[in-house]
Amino acid sequence: MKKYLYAITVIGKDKPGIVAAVAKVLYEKGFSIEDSSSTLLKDQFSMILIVSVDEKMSIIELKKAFYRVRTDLNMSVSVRRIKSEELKELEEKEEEHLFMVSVYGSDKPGIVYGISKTFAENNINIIDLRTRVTKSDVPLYVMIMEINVPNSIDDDALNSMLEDTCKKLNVDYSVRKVETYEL
Amino acid sequence: MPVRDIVIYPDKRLKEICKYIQEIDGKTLQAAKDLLETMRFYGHSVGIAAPQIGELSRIVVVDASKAKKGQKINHGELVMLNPEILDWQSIIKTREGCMSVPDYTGNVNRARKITVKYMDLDGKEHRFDTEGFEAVVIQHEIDHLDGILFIDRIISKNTDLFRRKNYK
Repeated sequence: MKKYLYAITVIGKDKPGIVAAVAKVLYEKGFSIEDSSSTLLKDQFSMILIVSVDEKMSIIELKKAFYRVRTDLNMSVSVRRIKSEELKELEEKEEEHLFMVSVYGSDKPGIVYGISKTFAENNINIIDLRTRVTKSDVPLYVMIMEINVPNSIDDDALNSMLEDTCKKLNVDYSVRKVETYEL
Repeated sequence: MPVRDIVIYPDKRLKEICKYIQEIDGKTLQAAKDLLETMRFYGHSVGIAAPQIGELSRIVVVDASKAKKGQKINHGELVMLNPEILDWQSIIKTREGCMSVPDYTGNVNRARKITVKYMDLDGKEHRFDTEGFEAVVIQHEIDHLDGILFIDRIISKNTDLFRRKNYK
């Protein structure tokens, strides 16, 4: 059966009951949560979800369903339809060459931009990213990400492009290959 | 029954605690033989535990030498009855997949070095030290005998950096 997919984001000041309130709406409207990630950024609880449903629902109607989440819990909610053409891309899966990369140093503008620009120019895909900064006297910036590297770039090439970029930014870095043990 | 079908989660047998082998009878020998043949059949398989073929007894087979990562340190093909980890040292993080949970992989903490004890098919007891890939394989397979899947051992959703609460 054809399924209709939507991307939903929910963000607002953290308090107990946000996940339950969002899940209640989805459950009552017959949605399945296909893929989701939620975390606390500063004091803002942030949810991103891809949900599916058997019967098409308008964006307005879906937004309306979250009325109480928006008013009672004071969350901002956004909803977008995912078109079926986009889905095909999601399903095509190629072989992955995964690496974990840590970049860190004293905080300054342009760390995330500098690193991500280098990756973008080399067709390296960031698939997971977390950044944090401390509040100490000398704020320490930390950027941790998982990347998928094209076949054409070997370990040495990846290392040298990171070394060049990090030298310019005056930050440190390390790379670890992600290996999956198939047991 | 040589090569057997792999039991896939949510089959409840994967969550059972397997029985210790008191006596090496025909049933035990057959299960061990089937485990070996099943592991050999799946080219990428470096270990299978009895519940993965539906036998709820404490048998695992491993062969770390089949994988590139296991080349340096391995004890070849082993049939282990009542395997037990006696001691361990230091922790490594691995990303594991499992034939019985085919759709997922997960980050798991394992001991890097272990001392393991087991009984062979003649009832003789052995013990050895191993580390790295082979140690991870053995821990993963022994977990199966206690109904533990790698999903039970995931400690962190994705990246592992948390802001520390301020200490006084």
